[in-house]
Amino acid sequence: MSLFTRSLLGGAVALAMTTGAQAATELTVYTAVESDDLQKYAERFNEAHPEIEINWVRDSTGVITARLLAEKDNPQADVVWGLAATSLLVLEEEGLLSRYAPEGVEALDPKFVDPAARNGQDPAWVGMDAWVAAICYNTIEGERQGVPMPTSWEDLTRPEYRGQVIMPNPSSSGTGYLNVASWMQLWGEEGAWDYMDRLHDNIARYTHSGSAPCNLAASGEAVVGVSFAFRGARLESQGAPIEVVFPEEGLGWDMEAAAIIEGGDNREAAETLLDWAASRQANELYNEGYAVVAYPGVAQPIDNYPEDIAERMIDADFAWAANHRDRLLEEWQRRYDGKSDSQ
Amino acid sequence: MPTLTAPLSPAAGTDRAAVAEAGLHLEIRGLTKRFGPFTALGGVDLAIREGEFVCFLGPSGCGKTTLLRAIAGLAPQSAGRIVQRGRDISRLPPQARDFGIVFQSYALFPNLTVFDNVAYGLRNRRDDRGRIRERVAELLALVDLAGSEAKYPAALSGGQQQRVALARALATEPGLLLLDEPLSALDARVRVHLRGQIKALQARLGVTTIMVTHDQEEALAMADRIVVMNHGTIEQVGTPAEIYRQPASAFVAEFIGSMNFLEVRPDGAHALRLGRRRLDCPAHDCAGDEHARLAIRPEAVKLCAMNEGLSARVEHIEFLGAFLRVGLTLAETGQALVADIAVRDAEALGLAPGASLGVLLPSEALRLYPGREARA
Amino acid sequence: MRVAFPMDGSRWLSGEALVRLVALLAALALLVVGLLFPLASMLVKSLQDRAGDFVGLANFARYVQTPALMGSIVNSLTVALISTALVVGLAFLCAYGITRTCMPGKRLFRMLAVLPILAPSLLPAISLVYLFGNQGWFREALLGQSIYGPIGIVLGMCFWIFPHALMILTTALSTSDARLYEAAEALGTPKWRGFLTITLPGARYGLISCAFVVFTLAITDFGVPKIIGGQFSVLATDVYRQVVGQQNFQMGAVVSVILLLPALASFVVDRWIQRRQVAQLSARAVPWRPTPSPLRDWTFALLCYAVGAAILLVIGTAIYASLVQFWPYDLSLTLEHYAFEMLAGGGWASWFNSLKLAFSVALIGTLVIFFNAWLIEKSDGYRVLRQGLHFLAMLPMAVPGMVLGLAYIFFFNQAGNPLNWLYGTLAILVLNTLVHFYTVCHLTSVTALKQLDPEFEAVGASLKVPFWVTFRRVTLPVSLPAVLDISVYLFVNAMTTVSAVVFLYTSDTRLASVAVMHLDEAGYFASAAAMAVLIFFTSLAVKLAQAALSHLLLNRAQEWRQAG
Repeated sequence: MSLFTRSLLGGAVALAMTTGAQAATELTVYTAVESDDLQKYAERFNEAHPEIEINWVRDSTGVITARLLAEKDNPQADVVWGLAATSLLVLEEEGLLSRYAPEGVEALDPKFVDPAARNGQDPAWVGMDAWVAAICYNTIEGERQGVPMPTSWEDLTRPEYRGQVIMPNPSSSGTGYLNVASWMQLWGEEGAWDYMDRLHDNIARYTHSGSAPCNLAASGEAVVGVSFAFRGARLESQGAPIEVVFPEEGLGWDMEAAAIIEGGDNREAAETLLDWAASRQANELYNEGYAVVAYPGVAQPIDNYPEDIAERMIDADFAWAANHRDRLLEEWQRRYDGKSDSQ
Repeated sequence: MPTLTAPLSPAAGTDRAAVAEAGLHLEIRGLTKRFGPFTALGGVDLAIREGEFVCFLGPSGCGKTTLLRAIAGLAPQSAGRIVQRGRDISRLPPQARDFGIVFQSYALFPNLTVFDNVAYGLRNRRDDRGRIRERVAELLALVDLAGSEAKYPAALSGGQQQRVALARALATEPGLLLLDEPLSALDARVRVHLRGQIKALQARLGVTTIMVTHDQEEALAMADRIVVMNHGTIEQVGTPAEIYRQPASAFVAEFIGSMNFLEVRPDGAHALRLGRRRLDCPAHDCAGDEHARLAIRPEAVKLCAMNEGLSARVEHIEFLGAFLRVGLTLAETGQALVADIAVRDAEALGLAPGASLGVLLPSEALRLYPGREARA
Repeated sequence: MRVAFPMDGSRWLSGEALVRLVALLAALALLVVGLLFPLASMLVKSLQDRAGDFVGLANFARYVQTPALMGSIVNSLTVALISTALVVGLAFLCAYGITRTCMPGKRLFRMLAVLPILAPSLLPAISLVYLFGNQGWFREALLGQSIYGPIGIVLGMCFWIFPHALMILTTALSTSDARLYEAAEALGTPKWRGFLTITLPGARYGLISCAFVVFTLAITDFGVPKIIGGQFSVLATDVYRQVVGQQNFQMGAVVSVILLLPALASFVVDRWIQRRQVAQLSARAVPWRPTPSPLRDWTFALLCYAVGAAILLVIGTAIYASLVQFWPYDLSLTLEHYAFEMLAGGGWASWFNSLKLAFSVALIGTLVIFFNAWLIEKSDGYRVLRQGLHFLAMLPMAVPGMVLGLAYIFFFNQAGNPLNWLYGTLAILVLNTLVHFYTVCHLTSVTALKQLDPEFEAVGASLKVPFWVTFRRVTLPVSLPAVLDISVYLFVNAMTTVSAVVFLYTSDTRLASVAVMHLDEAGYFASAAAMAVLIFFTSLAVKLAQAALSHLLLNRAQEWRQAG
């Protein structure tokens, strides 16, 4: 098997390289970045900084957040690179983040930098890109089962979608939570709970990760997957019979951001990584998957994204989403979690 | 029939008489072994002389194997002392004691050849290879298995395996050879043959030997002295003849050979009453007792004409080849009695079931034991 | 504890006795540190709040008041009971076919029936999605029911638990006494009455024991419900969700304690039954040999072939799923899904890690467990110590993987623990896996050792050969087939297990089985299948290597084994 031998060779080379480069610093980086991009991120970073080796710990947003909180007294991570801003706000509140102003942070869109920076403090975190809610719709299955393509969030509560919708569990998935939070901001709390009650009747199941609903829609396991634009666009370009729908009420979004964890042993390397994460080069990298990035003027339109996506994103209040995260998730679990009749 | 013609090991070839003179090999004092509430050995005292062949004999569960294992250090005693050649070995682990052992199961290592089995203890002493090969050949010749070096135990018969086990136990020239029911797993013919072989080998090597057995015939045939055990204590220690002729207790009397027991009343120190008849008997110590048990071996019972001795009725007659076993009922007391008599004598008496005749109980063959209930 | 020397304590401790005592204490330390302390930490944790203050049963009270969590108990029991009924029934019929009929192709069927053990329990779950999912080939067979939920869980469980049940029941049914059947036949008893009065009672302990083993496996399994459970939560997935999803370790500990209960209960019952079974079969029993009966033989043959075909179908589906370009829309074949590097789960490195783990556990575990079993079985003295060790060796069977893994976090991740350095290393995974699968290996060792002459050690000691030499020269070589069995069992389980290690891996020690789960979570279903298939073939290769090696060894040892 050529793949096998290739991997073997790759492993051997990687081993030789790590033993060769003695001064390599190992940096433990927690991330929720889509795993198909992790390798690319590390490679690009290592082109500039071969002396730093990244040990990724990847899971869904909720899991990484919970893990960082749980390890508060004995932090294992050096850096968080690619976690929802809502989560970083929670972590900052808990005193887990160490303030640092990366080189050239002034060049970034101020919306993408910790608001504290505006008051002359060093920012606790810097944004990377915006990650936007979207609906993945399987055209083949839709036609076969007579389920029309939705155009709005409200559409998903219509009876013809019963048992056809899959959505991420907001406890574990950042995408799940950004949807919940954005519906709250669109319709107010009461309106959002009412919407979710109705939506719940149509849900086939809640998944662990934010990309799973789109993957499931792409493989025809579901007709509609509530997911995010990046995954839908990527699957569409891979040839999945997917249409990425951007609901007309407005698009919830969250920001992927990076920060240094307080109390790590590798401060210098952590700062190097954060400098790079805020660089133009890095932002060009983000733009390969995300249409909206922190560095102004970098963003190029990408396939399967609408051109006006930036305008359709709602005016998200991350601070609110962060402050109410615990309460909203608890209420969500009380209402929908473990509801075994929704098989 | 193979015989023991191989030359003796020079180291072991000591004059047997000289060894016997040398005195005690093993001295056991107050040896006690408890398993929880159960007492397996209750304060055993025993002395074994240099070069002696001693058998531990008794029914299963009597403590004979426990005693052997305590001597070997395999089942350390709860209390008591064991001294071997003046050295207190009571608390030594087996490997620090000086013995070789052969088990009923042979316990040959199945994955090693006969050579490796016999050489097992030698290799550990870092003897050089040539010396080991020589010694193994010598030992195998001693047990009549010369040339079997390359075979695996599974390829040997039971008797051959047991001889390999014997060679292995003797390889390191132990001062004491322990045999734990070595012959029980063999069939009768091989057993009798190997019995003679072991005894001859032991006599030749002069190695002090203890053998555990439940087979009285084996013990009588092989032992210099027999230790009869019951319920964790020693009932009697003596030569085979002593054990047979003068059993020290009713248990020994009953366990060794066949024995008649009759319920009697002691009458002074030299006589007893069987029903209304007064019989003389050797001195006994049941004089003050109300009841006693009279023991007499069937072959000691003499039959005679009706007017002599005690009158009895013939119940049944068994033909046992060299002799007849006659079942009798004493007319006086109704007690049952068995007599072994030569076929020729029987013809002279005209024995037949239902016939009445006289029974003589020679006083020198009588032994008296206290108590009344016969133990099963 | 009454240890060592019953006399006045001045007994001379020889070098060898000292070595033996140290070895026994080391075995004790292994099981205390690897099992008892972690479990104790977990119990303590379940009684604490987040800040670590003692709160009594408050966490349990909260558990009872949370309907979503309570519902899992009912769900777990339902799924486990249905799986038990199905698996035991089916396995009994197949075992009957193997032992009591002259059906053709027994060997082939037995080989097929072992295959599910070689795959992680995630594999059948993945296959079931392809078979019965919304795009599945046989989705109509479910009559509109979804495969995501109890149906999928039960089917998945049946697949991977079946071999365990079959092995137990084949053993139970093969210990038959022909004399009973001859007597029944001589009395003119009809066949069905013979079955009811002889066969069933004879296999009754095997059946009960089998039912408990299956029930324990079903209620503690994590892989199947994780993949195919959908919204149907069970205890094992609750532990995972509480701990990994919400980092609520206290509630995780509570669910673990609850998960421990049914497993412990069935462990106790099983032990009790084992004890009663001892005297059942007399040594004089004559094995019963079936006589040909075409109708019966072919009925059972068809049943067994159907089961074998189902097993092949599930495995074949996973293989096919891993090769299809974009199921169900582009069915061209590709090896692309085996290029894990770009995906979640750690790529090929995780497979190498799994290999490292499996080889380490197989090597270290086999030696340690067999040697410990030997110490327990063949030492004299230290009775209390040895009995305690035996009990500790039996205990892991009652501890579900999820519980053990979580318990390890609690114990080894304490800041004050001198063993804290183990946390996050491959070594802790080795220790965890070794302890997790300790019991079966221990029992296999004990069975093998009981077959040896009890006096080997005494002979060695009388010849003044140190016990470790006798262990190396005699005990180990004679027990080699059992030792090989143990090492392969450990290897395969280390390759396939998810439940315990899911809490313990780090970025450096990601495992293939965990990668299957992560790939599935992230939606890379084909790659998840590919990784599961890779694990399956790795285990299969090792199993085949073992078969070849055993064959070779047996041939070489033929000479000394023939009559032994």
